[in-house]
Amino acid sequence: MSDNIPALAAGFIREQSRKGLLSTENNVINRFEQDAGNGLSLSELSENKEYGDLQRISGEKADYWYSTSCMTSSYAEIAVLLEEKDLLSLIVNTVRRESSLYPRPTAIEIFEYSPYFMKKEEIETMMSIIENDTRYSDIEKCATSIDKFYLFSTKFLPKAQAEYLSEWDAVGQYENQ
Amino acid sequence: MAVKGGWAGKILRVNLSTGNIERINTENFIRYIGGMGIGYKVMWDEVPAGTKAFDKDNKIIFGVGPLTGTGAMCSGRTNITSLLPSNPYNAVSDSHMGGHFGVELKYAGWDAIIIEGKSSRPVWLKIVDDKVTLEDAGIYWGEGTFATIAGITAMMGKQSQVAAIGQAGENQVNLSVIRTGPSHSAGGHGGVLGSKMLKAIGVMGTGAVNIAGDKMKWHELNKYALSLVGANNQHVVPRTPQPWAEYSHPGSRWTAKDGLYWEKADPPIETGTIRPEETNRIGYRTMKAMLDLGKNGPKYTVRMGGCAACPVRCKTHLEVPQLEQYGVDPHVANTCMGFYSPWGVLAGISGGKASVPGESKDDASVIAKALGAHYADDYGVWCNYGQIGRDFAWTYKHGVLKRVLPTAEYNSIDWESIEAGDPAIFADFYRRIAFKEGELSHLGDGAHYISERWNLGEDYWTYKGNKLWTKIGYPVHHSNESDAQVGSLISSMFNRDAQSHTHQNFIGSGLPTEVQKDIAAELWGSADAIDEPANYKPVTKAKMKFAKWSIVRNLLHDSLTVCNWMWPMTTSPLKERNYRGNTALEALYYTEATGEEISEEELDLQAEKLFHLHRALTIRQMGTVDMRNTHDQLTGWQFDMDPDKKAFEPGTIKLDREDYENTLTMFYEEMGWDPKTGAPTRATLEKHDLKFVADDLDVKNLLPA
Repeated sequence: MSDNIPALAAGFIREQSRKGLLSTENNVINRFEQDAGNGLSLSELSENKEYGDLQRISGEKADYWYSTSCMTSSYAEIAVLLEEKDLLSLIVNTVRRESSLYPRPTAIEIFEYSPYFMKKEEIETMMSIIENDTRYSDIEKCATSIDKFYLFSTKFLPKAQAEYLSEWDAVGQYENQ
Repeated sequence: MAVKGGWAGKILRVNLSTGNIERINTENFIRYIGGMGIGYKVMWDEVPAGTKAFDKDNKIIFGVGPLTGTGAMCSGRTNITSLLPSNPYNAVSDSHMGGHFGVELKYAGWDAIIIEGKSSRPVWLKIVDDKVTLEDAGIYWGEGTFATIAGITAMMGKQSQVAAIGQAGENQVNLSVIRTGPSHSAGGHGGVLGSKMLKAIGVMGTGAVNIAGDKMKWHELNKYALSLVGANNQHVVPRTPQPWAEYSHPGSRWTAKDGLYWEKADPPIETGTIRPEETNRIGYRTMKAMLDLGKNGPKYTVRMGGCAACPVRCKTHLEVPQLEQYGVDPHVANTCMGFYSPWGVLAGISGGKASVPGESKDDASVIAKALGAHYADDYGVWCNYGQIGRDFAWTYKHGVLKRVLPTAEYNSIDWESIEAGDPAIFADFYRRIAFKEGELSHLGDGAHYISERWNLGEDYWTYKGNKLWTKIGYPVHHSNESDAQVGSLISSMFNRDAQSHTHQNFIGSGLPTEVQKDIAAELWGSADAIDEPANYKPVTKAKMKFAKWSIVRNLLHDSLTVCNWMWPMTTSPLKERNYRGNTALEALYYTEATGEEISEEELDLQAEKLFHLHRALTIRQMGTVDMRNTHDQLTGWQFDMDPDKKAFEPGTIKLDREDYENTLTMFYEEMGWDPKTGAPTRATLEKHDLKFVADDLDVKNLLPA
């Protein structure tokens, strides 16, 4: 294997991470196949101190690599689901994470924008699944005075608190600067 | 103490009655830090109790501090102290403006301007370095702020900075502003300048501010500060999930992202994603247009602007061609309530909509906000933090205006257009206020005065939607929604809406509550200083330490002067620092600028002294020691809102009466004030080198027993 291949491979993964994109092992090996032959192993590479920022994350369909110096683990989790077009998990995981971590409800409209870029029809389809599947019975919807809708997980966020915070996000914050 | 650096070294005193111009040594004020501190000391020493805001004996102090003009981060603020006409007792208060006026004042060699007396004719004050003259303002009297500032700037030169009042100030409207630059205004004291017939102050300086410390160390300090700063309001996470960020928050003002443009720039400029280490691109982090002006704000944005030495640009500069149809300049610049307040004037009655023929709802809203901002700024009308719009709507909807306005006047108002959301009504509305035309213009007197004049009754004060915080007549400003008792207490301590953003910046940083709790425990002794939003718990000692610290830092910033909408650096965007900022940064700057070694704690003590002085000024002006019952009580809706919920249940920001009284007691004790009355004790005043204040209050029987 050419001496500079590990550095080039790591550089590629870092650059992709900076753009918010993950890299599969195949993707990297294919890119440098001619030079690397079968000698390039990202697992081995990441054990090298110089490339210790390279991190593997597993999806349903593949394993992915990213650089922790350019992408956080929380974003990598989003990126996996984006890569695998798992819109349902994107919505459910985001809502549960935000309800438990911050805590806050999640405006449904955010899934139309960066980094999700879902179509309205796709969101509606996912909402229909969430509403009818008992695995997601903790996900509830609430409305604000301007008919902006939010989701929250009752496992982590009381309904009344979610309703207040939704109204604040949609209306209150702009009137109190 | 000799001035080595930071301060300019002298203060300008201008007597408008005699035309006398005097230079005072700043050294006597150094223990009052600067800006607000100078203002309070002058007010205590020189303005007798009982003086009214528009009396000749009132004074107005434009103050800057040892960091203004040094290039320290966000050090472009000017503090203005005087009696506040909209306050029922005309108690002391401050208004503040950003821009470049304060910095220019320092370059001209001045730490403050004390304006006293009253001119017999309209004048403006011209300051070119040490040369100070009073000039005839006859040609500007009757003009708006735009023409006045443009005219004086043309005369003095492009390097000058001008602060001016509009017709509202001239006519001594209580709610009027002093404005500078394209987008900066200080609310509340325009009428004081008007009462003195001082139309404007123009200043040009060719000097510099000396840094007493090592110049390289100063440079490194600035670089370090830039590494800790976030976006507007020190929000330290991006608004949308981004690869570099562990956290994000939809309320964050770190709006930068790929595909977001200043669309009216030529060519359009993409803010792009801005990572924390990109300190040369901090100016792109915040695009306020998308927050203040809605979905179509970016479409009209030429650029973001801001103040001297501030890397964060929080003022939206717009080009709205449709404004030419209304006969005004299409270029408008402002931020926050500058846009939201006129929107409230219109939308409070129209039902939240603006309507312009041929324009979409989103475009019409931008047109309305920009047009309203133009008229309010030009006439120099202050909104009392949005209260004027709520008062207009409430008095209209409750039939008050129909009752109190003469029929001819009532019928002269185009209610149909207002209800339809037609922005053309702004010209008429703001003119009536600024020129005191008719009964309607009393909306410009302020909440307390219209309540008395129009007999609005308790319903007016206790209606939650009116947002009135205390009967002194100002509204909420990051109050019970901001960590319950912390925001509530802070909102009750001043003589106008609280100008403290310390607590709100921390709460609104975008970090998860658990991270904030860890930081709170380090700073205020317990994680209990902060609760989950809208899931509040009874008051704790740590909450009151947080409240006190927030106020003290607010006063510190308005004295140094640095922007309290950005400072302190309680948090940072840096994961490697575990999102900690550095609360000692002000002291580090102070030490390097002035050459006087000072710790964070020592500097906080100096700022705390100013808060005791503010309280003493309020007590002396109100003539009572019983602050708890006469000053600090709420209007009531805070306890009675959400009738189906109890205080401290999730989902409400409702307060509890007993808990609020406990809050006051615990805060008074934290301050060293009498727990019964909330007045500073002699011991506390003396501890803070304010024996002369204690002695004076004692003579007036205004010290607690």
